[in-house]
Amino acid sequence: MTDLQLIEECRGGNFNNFRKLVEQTSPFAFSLAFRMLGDEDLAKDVVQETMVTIWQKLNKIRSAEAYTTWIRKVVINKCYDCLRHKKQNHEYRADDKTWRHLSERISQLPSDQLENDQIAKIISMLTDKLSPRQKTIFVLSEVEAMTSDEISEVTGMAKSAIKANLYYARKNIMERIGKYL
Amino acid sequence: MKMEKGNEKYDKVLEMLRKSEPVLTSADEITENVLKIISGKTKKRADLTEVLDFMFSWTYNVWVRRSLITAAAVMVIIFIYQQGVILNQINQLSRQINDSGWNASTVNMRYINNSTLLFRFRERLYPAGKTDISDRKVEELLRSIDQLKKEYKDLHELIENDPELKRLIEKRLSEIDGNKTKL
Repeated sequence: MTDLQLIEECRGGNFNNFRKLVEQTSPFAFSLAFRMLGDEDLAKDVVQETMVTIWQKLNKIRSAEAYTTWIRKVVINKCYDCLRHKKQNHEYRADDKTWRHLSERISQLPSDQLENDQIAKIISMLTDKLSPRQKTIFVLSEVEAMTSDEISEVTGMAKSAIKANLYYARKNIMERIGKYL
Repeated sequence: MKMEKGNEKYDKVLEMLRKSEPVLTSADEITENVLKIISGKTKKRADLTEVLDFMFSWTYNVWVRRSLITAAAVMVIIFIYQQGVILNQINQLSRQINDSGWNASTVNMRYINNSTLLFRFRERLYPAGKTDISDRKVEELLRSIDQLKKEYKDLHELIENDPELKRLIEKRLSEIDGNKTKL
């Protein structure tokens, strides 16, 4: 994903190199943040904060693989904090019309990509009853297709807790799908 | 059957989500914002360096600068410690003065003994030829102090043996001090 040489050049305080690094990293970080949060503006804020954190801790990065893992870790932790905060303020409620629309899309299974707002709507519809932790595990495991080892490494959660959260998340989403779709 | 259908729909939804990668539309805006934030932070760090340069610019030798900063810090610590000690001593003395009342009637024999001891030591530290007082006068003074101590002791015994006299003196001292004094 990224070149270690570019990271090493950024350590010297070169803004132009860091610009390249931000351009390379942002789409990946945004994709992850957007899937977790289902909100474009919040996801952009998380990406911005993540890139600033990277700039401050560039010296700690030893390899390109470690960089990718570390980016994931920072984004996921920031998103998790956001979700916990968001849960108290705002909760998405889907109406019947939206569910019907989703049902139609599933039956058609379009080959073209969904728009950002459609992705956000689907994720929110499916996960709005889940706790921040369950939602995080669901997105990482089912949408991002991360293994439980990777999730454990990134979130610091025990594998048993990951499995339990994933089980409840799946159960809840299946119930919603059975009820509305 | 219903469960299987639910599973199928679940898988379809997931497939849809996995296939659709969210697209970052305003990457440039994010890049510019990030660079603006980090350049602001770097500027703050540069400002601090400028202040340090202004204060210690007369020497660019790194180890000298570090030594000076360390010495300054040590001196400040010593100064604060010294102030603390002095303040503590002043407080202690104030307390002693308050506790003892500090008047002629409360000056006891211990105080006189300490004073004369110091005076006797002084004679050893400063040979007679270098002091303003002659040896004879010093001896006379010490003799009179010894005499005074003896008389004080006799007087104390006399008072102790005569309760009537003791009461009378205590009454008289109380009139002078305004407090009730016990001998």
